[in-house]
Amino acid sequence: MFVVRRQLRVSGGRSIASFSTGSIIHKKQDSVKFTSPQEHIEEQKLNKVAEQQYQQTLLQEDFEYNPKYVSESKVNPITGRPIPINVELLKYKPITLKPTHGNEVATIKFRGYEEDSLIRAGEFALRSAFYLGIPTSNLTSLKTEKRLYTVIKSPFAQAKTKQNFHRVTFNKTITAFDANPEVIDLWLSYINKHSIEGVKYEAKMITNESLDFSKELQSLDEIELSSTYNELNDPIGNKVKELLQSDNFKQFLKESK
Amino acid sequence: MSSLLKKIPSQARLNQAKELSAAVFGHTWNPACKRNGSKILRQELKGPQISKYYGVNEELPTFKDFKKWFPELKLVDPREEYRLKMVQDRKKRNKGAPKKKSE
Amino acid sequence: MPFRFPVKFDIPKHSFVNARVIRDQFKRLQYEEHEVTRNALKYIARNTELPSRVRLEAQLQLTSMPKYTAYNQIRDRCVASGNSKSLIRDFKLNRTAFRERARAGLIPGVKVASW
Repeated sequence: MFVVRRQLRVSGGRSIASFSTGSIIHKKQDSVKFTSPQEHIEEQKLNKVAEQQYQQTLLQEDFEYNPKYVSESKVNPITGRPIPINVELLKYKPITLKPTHGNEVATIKFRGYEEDSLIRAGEFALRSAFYLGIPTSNLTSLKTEKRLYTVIKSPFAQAKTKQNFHRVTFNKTITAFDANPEVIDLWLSYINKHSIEGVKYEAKMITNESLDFSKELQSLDEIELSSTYNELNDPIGNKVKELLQSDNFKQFLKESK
Repeated sequence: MSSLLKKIPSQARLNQAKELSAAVFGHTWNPACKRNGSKILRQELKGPQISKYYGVNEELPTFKDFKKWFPELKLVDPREEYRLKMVQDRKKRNKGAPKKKSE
Repeated sequence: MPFRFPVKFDIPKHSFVNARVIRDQFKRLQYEEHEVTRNALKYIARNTELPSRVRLEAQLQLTSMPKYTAYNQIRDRCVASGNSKSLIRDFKLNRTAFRERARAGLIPGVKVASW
């Protein structure tokens, strides 16, 4: 069977501003104006109403809650109830499911200046993957980047005395295997919802499409590409055409023929 | 040995095949390495990134905005205060900005 | 006071501002506006497959554009002090501004190094 491998890159969470140095990638987005306090309050009110509605819809469906316990006799002294096994497991390293087919579906990269917060974010992702039934690799470290900044200590002259500063950036990654794109979407959005400050999350999803994927896309009438794609049809090329068709250039083009 | 060599297609034929494959896969075919300026067409536009260097005004409110939103708090910007004080001090020493020309 | 630049534009609000920073900001905005035109003209001028008169015309038009629309006129400046020398690009800060902030622990991840 022929399969086209398509890669999607998503980055989320709270990114660190100074990471964005030197990247040329940009999307023309409409700049979002900051909200005034009054607008913010109104926004919060609307959000609260929506959240309440969502909670009510959740409560209308009845669901079973029968947690597993380590042992019924072992009781939490504060609540007086036995400790559920998933709470108990927080004391240990996260369990991962073994991949059944080894088909790589998604990778998440964590990036940040503090290793502890990276581990926290990574283990959260691993635990949620375990409960969603996604087979994953362990949290593996990638190369640590160290950047040294040497500056002259004095604000003026005395250039021989310098001071060294450094910034250490840690990188970690998780690979997910053999899961439906829907489950992966759910997993990633859950991680994004509970993202930690100071960690940059970057997810890469790999989906398989049949060879007539482009035809399928065309047959869909409902799909509407976002305005960012408008910029993609080569502004410079269009300008070149426009220039060459202008009177100034036409004259020279005719002469040469 | 010679019979083997004969079977290898000529350079012209090979080039034809390469040209065809380039047309099929949408690659550029420029065997003479002519300077056709496609480098410039391929470049990404860097203007939007460059114009954001000193920050985007709409992204964050300034001290003035807070003054406008909360007039009852009577907020004072220490940096602005310091600047005004320095202007006054300079004026006292006759080092201030020159007077406007009157016609 | 009259606006000294040929085109009216917004002065940056979130950075240190002096005359040189404003001048640089003006060049940046102008570069962004004229980037497509400049690149198109550049493409015509560099394309050896086009007739030479056309290429010459494009080159002439390119040189007749104001200098402030050129990329090489832009110089990165310190966001905190407006200085253009000894600038650390990762933080857009001059060496003294960087050292003050780094020592105060204001820049995430940056520490005094010792080994």
